[in-house]
Amino acid sequence: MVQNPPDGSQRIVPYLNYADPKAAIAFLCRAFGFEQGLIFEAPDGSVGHCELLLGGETLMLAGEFAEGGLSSPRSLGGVHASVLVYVDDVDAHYEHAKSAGAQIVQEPAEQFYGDRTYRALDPEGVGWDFHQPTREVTPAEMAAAAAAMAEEQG
Amino acid sequence: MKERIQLEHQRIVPYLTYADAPAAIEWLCRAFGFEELRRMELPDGRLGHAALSYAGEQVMLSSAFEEAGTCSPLELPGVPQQISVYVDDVDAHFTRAQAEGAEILIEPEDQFWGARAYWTRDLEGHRWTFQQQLREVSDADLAGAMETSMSD
Repeated sequence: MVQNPPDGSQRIVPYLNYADPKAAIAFLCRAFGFEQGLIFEAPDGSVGHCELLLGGETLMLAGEFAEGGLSSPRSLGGVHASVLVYVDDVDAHYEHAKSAGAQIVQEPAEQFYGDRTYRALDPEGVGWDFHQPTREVTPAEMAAAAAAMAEEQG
Repeated sequence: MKERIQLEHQRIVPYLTYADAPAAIEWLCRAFGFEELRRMELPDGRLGHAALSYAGEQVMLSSAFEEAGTCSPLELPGVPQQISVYVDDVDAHFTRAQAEGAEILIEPEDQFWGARAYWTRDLEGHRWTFQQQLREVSDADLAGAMETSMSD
């Protein structure tokens, strides 16, 4: 029986495009703790496909393909998607990423929904949110906290 | 050592931004077969957060927040991120998405990596690949096929 999704992959996989995919791979492994898996390089050195592994799951990336509408965030005016990753120790992850040169957008903080989180940008501007669930929050507590936040915002 | 809290979904979760997040939720459920799990609505009608599930995994999304630098692909000349989803019956998935008005970029075809896949754009221009793994392909076969495909 063929595995669908394949072994080592979750069902829903983000696929990122970078202007300099090799630099991105090096950074994501060094700063965020991914391990490089499969990589396909064309003779001209461009990266056609690469898989990065973390905690039994997969993230995929490739070079830009601007004529096909796939561009690095660096060449675009904003961020339309980010990647959220659940890690086991978000503070250690933060210290490591920061010392490896990740641009920190939001320092680690406890969130009302029970996670401790921080947000970083990688060298090409992809947004990354790292979360660690730190306490159970009941749906009622969640609703109350969300209402209080909305109140504040309104 | 504090006890690990069990996640109710995969570790790596795509987080998408939509100009009209409520319309996107409705559309993603109707066209792509997601189920809405939760949404957090702000007084101005924007969504601060929403989670949709598919076969036990999730995508998350929110409204665009210009002040935080997030925007819909509608406002961008290209996208830096696509979402790839493994489904159990890619042809049935395609038929449904197409009937619901998804813009089809590439129709379902068998691919050299052993999956059958199609490419589509959602109502605001996020790119999605839906695929179904049909056969096992060894890493060596994959490398050979990739080389052939890249030298074409």
